[in-house]
Amino acid sequence: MQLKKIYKQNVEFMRKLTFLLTCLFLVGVGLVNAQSKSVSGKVISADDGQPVIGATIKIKGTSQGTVTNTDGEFRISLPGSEKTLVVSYVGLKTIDIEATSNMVIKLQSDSKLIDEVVVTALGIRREKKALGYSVSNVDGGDLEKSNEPNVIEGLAGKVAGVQVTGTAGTPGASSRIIIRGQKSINLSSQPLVVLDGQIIDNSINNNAGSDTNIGGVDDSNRAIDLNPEDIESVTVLKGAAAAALYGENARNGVIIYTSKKGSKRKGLGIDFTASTGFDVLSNMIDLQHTYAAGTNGTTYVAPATYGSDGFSTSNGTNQSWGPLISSVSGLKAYDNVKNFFQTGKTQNYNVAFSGGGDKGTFRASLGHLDQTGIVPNTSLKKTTFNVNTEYNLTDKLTAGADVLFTNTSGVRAQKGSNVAGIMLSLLRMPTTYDVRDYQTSQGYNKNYFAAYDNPLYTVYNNPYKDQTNRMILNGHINYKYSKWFNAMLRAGADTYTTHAQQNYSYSSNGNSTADGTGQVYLDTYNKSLYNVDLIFNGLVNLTDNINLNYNAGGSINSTHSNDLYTIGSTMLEINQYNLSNFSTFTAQNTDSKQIKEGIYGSLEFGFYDQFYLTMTGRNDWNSTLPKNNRSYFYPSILGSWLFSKTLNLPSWVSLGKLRGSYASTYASPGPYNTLTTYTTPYYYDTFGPQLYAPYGGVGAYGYSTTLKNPNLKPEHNKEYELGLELEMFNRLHLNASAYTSTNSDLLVTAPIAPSSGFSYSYTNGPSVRNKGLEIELGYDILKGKDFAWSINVNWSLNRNKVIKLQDNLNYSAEGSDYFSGNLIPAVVLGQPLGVLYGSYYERNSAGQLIIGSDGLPVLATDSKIIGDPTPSWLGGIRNNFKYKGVSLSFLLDLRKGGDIWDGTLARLNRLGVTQASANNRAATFVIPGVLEDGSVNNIAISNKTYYVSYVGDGSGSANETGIEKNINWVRLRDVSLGYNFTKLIAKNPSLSFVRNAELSFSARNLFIITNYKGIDPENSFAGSSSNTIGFDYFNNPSTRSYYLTLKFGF
Amino acid sequence: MKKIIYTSILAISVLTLGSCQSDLDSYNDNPNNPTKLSTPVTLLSGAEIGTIMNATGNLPRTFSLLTQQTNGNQLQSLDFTNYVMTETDNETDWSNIYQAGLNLNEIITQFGSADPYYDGIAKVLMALNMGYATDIWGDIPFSEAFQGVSTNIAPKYDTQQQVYTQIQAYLDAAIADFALSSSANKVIPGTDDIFYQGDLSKWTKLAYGLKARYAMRLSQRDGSTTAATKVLQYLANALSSSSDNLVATFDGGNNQNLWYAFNNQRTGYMSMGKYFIDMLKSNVDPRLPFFAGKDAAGGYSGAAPEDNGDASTSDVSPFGSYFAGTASTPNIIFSYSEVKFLEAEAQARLGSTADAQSALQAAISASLKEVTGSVDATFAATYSADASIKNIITQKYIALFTTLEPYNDWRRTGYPVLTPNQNSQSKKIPVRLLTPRAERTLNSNATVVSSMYTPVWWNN
Repeated sequence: MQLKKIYKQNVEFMRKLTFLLTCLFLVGVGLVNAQSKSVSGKVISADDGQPVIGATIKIKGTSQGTVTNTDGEFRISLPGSEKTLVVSYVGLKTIDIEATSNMVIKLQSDSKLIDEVVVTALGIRREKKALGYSVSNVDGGDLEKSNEPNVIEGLAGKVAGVQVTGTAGTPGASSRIIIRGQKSINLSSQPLVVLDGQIIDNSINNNAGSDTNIGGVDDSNRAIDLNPEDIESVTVLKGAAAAALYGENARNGVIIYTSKKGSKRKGLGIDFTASTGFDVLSNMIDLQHTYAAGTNGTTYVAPATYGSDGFSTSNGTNQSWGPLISSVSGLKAYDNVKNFFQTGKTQNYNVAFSGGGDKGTFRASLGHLDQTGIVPNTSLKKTTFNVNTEYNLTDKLTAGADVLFTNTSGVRAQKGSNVAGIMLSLLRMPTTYDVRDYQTSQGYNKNYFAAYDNPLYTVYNNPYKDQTNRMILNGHINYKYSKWFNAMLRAGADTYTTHAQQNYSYSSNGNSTADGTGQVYLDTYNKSLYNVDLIFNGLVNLTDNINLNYNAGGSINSTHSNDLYTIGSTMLEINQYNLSNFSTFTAQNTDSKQIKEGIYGSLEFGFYDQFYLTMTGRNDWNSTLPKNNRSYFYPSILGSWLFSKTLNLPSWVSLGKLRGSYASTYASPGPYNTLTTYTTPYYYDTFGPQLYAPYGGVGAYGYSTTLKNPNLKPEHNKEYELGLELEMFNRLHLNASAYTSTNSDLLVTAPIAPSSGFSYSYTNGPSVRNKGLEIELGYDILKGKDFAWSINVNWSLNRNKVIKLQDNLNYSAEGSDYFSGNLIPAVVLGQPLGVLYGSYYERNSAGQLIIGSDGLPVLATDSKIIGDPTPSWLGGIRNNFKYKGVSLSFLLDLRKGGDIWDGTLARLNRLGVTQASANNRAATFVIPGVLEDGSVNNIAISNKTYYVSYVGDGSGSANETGIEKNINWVRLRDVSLGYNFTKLIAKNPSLSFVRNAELSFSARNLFIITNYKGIDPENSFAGSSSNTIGFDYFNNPSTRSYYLTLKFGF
Repeated sequence: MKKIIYTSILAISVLTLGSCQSDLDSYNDNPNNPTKLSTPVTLLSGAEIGTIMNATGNLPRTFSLLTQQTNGNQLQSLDFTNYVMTETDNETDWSNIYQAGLNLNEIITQFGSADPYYDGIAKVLMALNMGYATDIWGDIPFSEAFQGVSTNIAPKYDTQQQVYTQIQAYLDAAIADFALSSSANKVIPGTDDIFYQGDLSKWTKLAYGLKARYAMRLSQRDGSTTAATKVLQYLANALSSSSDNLVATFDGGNNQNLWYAFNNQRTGYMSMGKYFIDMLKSNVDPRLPFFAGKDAAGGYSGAAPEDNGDASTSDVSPFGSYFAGTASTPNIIFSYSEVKFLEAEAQARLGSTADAQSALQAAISASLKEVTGSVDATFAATYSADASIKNIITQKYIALFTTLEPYNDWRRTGYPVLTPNQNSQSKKIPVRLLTPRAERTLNSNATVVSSMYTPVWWNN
């Protein structure tokens, strides 16, 4: 059996990358176009006869050469008398061969190590073998297969140690990504996102009307502005060591997107992709269709009634504890969930032009996405225009420029705990009400319960519309003096403007005073990131066997933003949304700017091609810190040992590598956190109404409720990592890492005793440790010429623990993500970050519930830890099958453990809407436990009391009843079936006009097997900008999608 | 070529680094919010807004449920009616009191000596706010409170007795401040004073009125006679007509009457209470149609705690127009009527029945005028005939609805006699609130009380 080095995916990835690199290299070297004889040929693999794409053909003794095209073909000019070609390709044996016309060159597998190349920090390419840390690669094709318009969501289940949580439901909803566990409380735990070497913005800006984590709409994370079709590959740098050179926030990991580039080729290349897809509702709670609206089991309560002015004349009820529907004449049961949701449709078109010659390369693409959601009147539209160019000014000087322009716009629906939210009103709806009866004859809100907006009314009348225009510009000049000295100056700007508008129509309950008088929120948000990097690097051969790779550089990053936000309240003419149509205004604006400067360097020594030692150091200066703490230095040291080269291992071990690293990083606070300020005073009533200035025209100031700190320090992260990489039997590929990372001086908006005059203190406080294990395992089960099957598994666990707290306190709330149900994500010593802290029942020493005289458990007066939302482990299994032109791939996404507070189900049980609450309304229950005198509880309670106050979250129930423990899932995240029919329409693709033709069918979220009783355990109630997880409260539901994609390459 | 490149790279580096040094220094200057204030003017307006929240927001709503003037029919309000109240339910109320207190304290400490009028107003409002806190929670931080900026974030708790002493001292200091000439002030309060527009004679009367309120509160501690004597002494200079009332106004735009706004945002949570409505109905009280809205049947009715939310909320009376009519309906915080009730009780405690009767009649009349706009003299005469403590407090219970006084008086005197919710687990009306979670968990010096049935010091 022929040996082959790497499993299928990596070969594909490497081929592309090598092809690109070689192109770049050759372009850099500069080809001489002398008058000469030319020969052509084709390079194939001796293994399977497949063309070798990107193989290097060099004329021996010269620096001239070319690479094979996508069909393995090449043409090369032979100057003078030299006829020997040197043909090489990563993973295959390099051969010298005499040039003949129409030659076919077969390359044998190489048993030597493959020098796979990866993109690392600052866009520097490195041989993977030399790296002392863990990197994971995701092929751009895998991103496309997911058909996720969001390049973050597209990574779900694909990389060990990376947890992606989508908020789903509405098009453009944000995705949260956490690498190796949560590291911070107040600062973002989101990794840096880098596009072609430039740090770009991936923040979630809660704009108009979505300024709370709980209500409002779910805004996009701004990586949504990238077009997955433009992405060649994704590299995930997981450890702090990998990222030390990026400085700030790189401790959260770095996701590096590399754009597709043009390559040297004949004529103009055109790639066209069209896909169309459908989204449907994937999961829903089982609701009852037997009992009518009502409160006492016998009397039907009619829906709210409304006067001609749109105001309610009776309230109706939100309870479904009424009589049997069959017992009340004129009533029937409606399937409101079915009647509300629709089929979402997606259309996505991309066209790319690419080309290249001796002087340079270019690629230009245009993409358009048009998506409508399963929630009526929600949509996402995205148009991207992307140009990448590289130009060779001289043989040593190259310049490149990339431009990305994106227009993203959305119409979104209210989520969560919001009386104008769709799920709250929809799921609570008694089945005797028809959701389609959503407006009065005057066109005003009409619903079963006066305090809620009808979900159909709200989607049509209270839209949140946002539009973002974004430009990412990146230019670089590279001067390659020699192998040992290369200089690059890169400057980039990422700038966007988001305009958002939230309407609340006349008669809607959604306006901030809930009185139906209408409101408009207008928000204009500008943000710009500027980066300048100057990098020197080179390779020095110190001796024959000792090499030094060095980097030295400096960078300046600045961020500027401004937000202008106006609310108009109390409309004059009905449903006109210009500010002039309102009588009361609230306006605010916020400006923010920050600058970071850094210098850095790294030295990478290679000994005998077996040992590598890298040392890095960086010093940053950050404007957001007090002068004394503004400058900080952080080093890292990394080593790797290719023991398969040193030790005499059996021949079936083709690669064995041990690596280890230590790294230190810092992360600094946002601007303006060092001095306590005076602000407009806000006084919140517990249940919503608020008072604030200007008060009847009188302006006011008061101390901000958060105490700021003039002695702030940056957060400090120290991480150790050990790793093992193995390649065996030419089929098995293992990459395992273990790490421990300690984050100290964490910045917290710590709640403090309000009697201090302040509710929060922004300060350095807790320390958190993350320990984890990551394994990526690939196995090529079958590698036949026609049929191939490979399986890739990733598995990871992360243990997070608070190891220190400020001021000897053992509890504090996490940030300001207070949830009104008294349940909060808390920071507790010895516990993972974000444990669920809430009310609970009294128990005796034997752990039995203590039951009160009313037959219900006795509620403790205080709160404690009642759940932990962090999963035990995460996993992903991808299978790839290939038979001739047909390929099949599917990804199973697994999660084990982690608790979720299912507030949705608890509330629906309370209101008598669930099927469970209706199974036997005549039944009585005795809750297991003991009475206060110690005897066994024998007090029977009614079905209603049981579901309202024990299973539900009714009066007297504890938060603990809503906690669902140890949630597991197996999810078929994506399936794709592709058929390459190039040969059907072109007998000889290399000569034909059509170079490539592919049809693929893919589906997402086809099924989920879970022990979760709620709608979907993968959701993020507070939105992805929050560190809060494990809360389910009328979150928007997730979707199942089907896509058909057609691709042509010309 | 090389030289050009080297030179330009060098030049760019030097230039950018040079300009960045000054950027590092200036970028963190906050362009959005001030870190210093030049006068106490805006602080006073802000603290008055806070006082309005504390006096008319969640606290009086919560206690009106316990005194059965209103009833909770759904969700959180139903919990309160069932006496299911946790350490987090009133955390915001506590924070609001201390937020207002912080800014009052800033007026006193930063501007007090230069602007004694502001100092005086701040001290009166501080007395009022600390009065709310101590009456509800007993021992509270006062002497060490509001010192977050100077890094004391765990203030010790003063006993309620110490708090009461300090309240009286603050009111005395305020009265002295108001007596100073205006030339002793750098800034004179005006329209920034939302309550009295800088009318210092009204502030002085209010200070005396509050002294009387808090003196009477100690009737069990100081003894009936001592308390009553002090009350009468303070009342001599207190509010002399309803035009002196301390009134919370609402602009009706962004700032809405909190009872009204609550009812909009939490429709169906609360209605009027059966006990209160039945009392008004049996008395044929002219205030009934102002205190309560019409029920589904076109009459007036209230929900009982034992209804457990089953009574459809539209079947009973909603909040009335007097206190929750529109977004800009004002609410009384301290009234001439209360002054007269205090006088009536003091006279009754001193055995002066006739004086007690006439004060009670004046108290009821003032209330009738405030609520209905006119005085039903017959009604006032009828219900002031009985000058017993029981009748005085019961009439006060009606008149001072929407303030915290009915709950305070019920705890102090036991009137009116309320039957606890028989469907509740405890079957006992709470006599205080629990120490808020934020204090229990975050203030190592907190005096933690974990039972709602432990009475406060003056209630012993």
